[in-house]
Amino acid sequence: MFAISVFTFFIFQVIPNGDPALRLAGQSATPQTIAAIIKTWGFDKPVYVQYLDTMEKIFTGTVVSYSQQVNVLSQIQRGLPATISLALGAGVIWLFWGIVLGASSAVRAGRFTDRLLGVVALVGVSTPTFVVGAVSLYFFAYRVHIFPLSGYVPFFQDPWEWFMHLVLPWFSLSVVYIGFYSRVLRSNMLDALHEDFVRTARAKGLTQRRIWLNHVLRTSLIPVISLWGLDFAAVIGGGAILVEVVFNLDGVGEYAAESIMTLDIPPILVIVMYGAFLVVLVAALVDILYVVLDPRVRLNG
Amino acid sequence: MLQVEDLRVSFRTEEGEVKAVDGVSFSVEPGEILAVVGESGSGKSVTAMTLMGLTRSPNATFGGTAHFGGTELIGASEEQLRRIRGPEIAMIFQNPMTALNPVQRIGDQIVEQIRAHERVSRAAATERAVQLLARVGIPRPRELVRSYAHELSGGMRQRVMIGLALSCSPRLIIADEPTTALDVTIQAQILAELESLRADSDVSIILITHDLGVVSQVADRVLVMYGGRVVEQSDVDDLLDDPQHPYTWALLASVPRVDGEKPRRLASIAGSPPSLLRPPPGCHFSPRCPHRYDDCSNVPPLAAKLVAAPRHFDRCWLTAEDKLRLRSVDFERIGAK
Repeated sequence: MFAISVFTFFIFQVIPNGDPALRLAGQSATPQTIAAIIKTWGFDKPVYVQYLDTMEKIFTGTVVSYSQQVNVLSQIQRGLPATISLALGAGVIWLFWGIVLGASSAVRAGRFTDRLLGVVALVGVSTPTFVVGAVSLYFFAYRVHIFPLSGYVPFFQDPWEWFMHLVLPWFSLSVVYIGFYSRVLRSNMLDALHEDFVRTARAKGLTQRRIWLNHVLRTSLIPVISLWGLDFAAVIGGGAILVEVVFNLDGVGEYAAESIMTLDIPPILVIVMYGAFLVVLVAALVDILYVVLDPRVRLNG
Repeated sequence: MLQVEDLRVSFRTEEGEVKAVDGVSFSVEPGEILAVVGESGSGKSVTAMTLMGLTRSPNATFGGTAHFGGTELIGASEEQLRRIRGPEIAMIFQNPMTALNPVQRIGDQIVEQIRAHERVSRAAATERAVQLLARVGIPRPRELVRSYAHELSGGMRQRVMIGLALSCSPRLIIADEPTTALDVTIQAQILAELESLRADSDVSIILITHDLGVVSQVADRVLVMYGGRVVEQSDVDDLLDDPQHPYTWALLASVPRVDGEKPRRLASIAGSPPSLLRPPPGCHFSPRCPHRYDDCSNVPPLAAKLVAAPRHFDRCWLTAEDKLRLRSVDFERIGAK
């Protein structure tokens, strides 16, 4: 966390044209106003003092952005419902379809279904998210008015509209992950197929279905679940920038995008730290979950 | 009970066809322990797994027959085989560390097999699992039935495997090197366990091993395999007293004896096992055989019965007199017998 915050802070210190005082002052600013701004915001202090000041503001919740001078934390809080809604729905969709497609692919390994799914997954992984988003918007919102064009409606205001506004973002965000997860699961399962205990399962006279579900799939899912936890945390941490911008969801990711565009250091810093914190937190949760999923860990850990 | 005739298994690989099993015939009677000995790659595991249909793959082709009870195993459908695996033929694998599912409780693994073949409640099946664990010498079975494989020692795990194999009262158990991965002290316990099974019921056991010490301890009959073929087959005492095939001599000479009068150097067999991709057209052992004739590598020898012991076969071109003479020379040289 500390390393990440330091790194992010200094990266934006050395970016050219990054002098925040100039941008705060506006285009027709006199040298006097610029000097006053430098004084009040403390831009004349040494870099490490500026860093410490910013950190103090972040942890006391008083940090404000350069551009509109609004409180960063409340901005993030405002964006969270949309981002969490996006992450929850998309996370369920991509985990479910990743498992379904990956498992079908593994069961039919080497045959037509497997090859077809392989191509589909490759296309899914290699199509940029914003292309999927834009194309789906064009067809399902602009040409045929099934779904609204953009925006976010809070769940408690109108659950149906909430759902309708999120279908396309969920789908667009999931495509890459489905492709990726299905391939990972497929290769895990094909590896598991050569395990001795799967041979034992076969020697026990179990049905194919049971061998696949109980022995191959179950052991192969464990790493996929931990992967899912991390990706899910990254989306909540504002990682789904492209989807949020394309669909104008006004979530944390979109806030991050705006801040980067205007080189607004405080929000960027806070979002990066918050994202990193989430990933670390979820990684710890996944470790705990592992104890439930994989009994071997109980002994070692 | 089990009659295997001219069993052939070959695998298509990138380098060509590998004849892993090349015309193997043997039979197993009820209550008999048949040991199959040979080096790695001699085809002993493939033979055993083929009986259960575990070597089936798009790259494998099979020949010959294997009659078990009323069923022909080689051509059986998957569903027929599935019904045989467990209640008729069960298998114990070499490595108990990896042969049990790491994320399933050992009791559940036994229950799963019972319920795949019989309509019994989960509770009744669990109770049977506890009994089975007790029978194979697992302490505190009621408690350990809920444990995972990694919580048990290697010997305990192999006992669980034996309990699993017993769970549907099979008529034949195939044990593929069941003691190889275990400590020597545990090996003896596991062997004793297998022997007591035979004493309790008339279950037959095919014991695959490369350890002639194990063979002399528990087996009734022995099959010596080399390069995918059976080179010698006999009752165990007869084989140890009067081995016929030069490969068997070499195997015997490579076993340390603790009852020998003077310590001797252990013999090794020169050369390495044959490539089954391009085996010699004749006897597969001929390239390493110290007593070969020119024709040995060109013409495969047929199985010949021993006059004195009609249940004793071997496949070698040497005459009976030559064998007697050469064998004593061989054993003399290394100081055995």
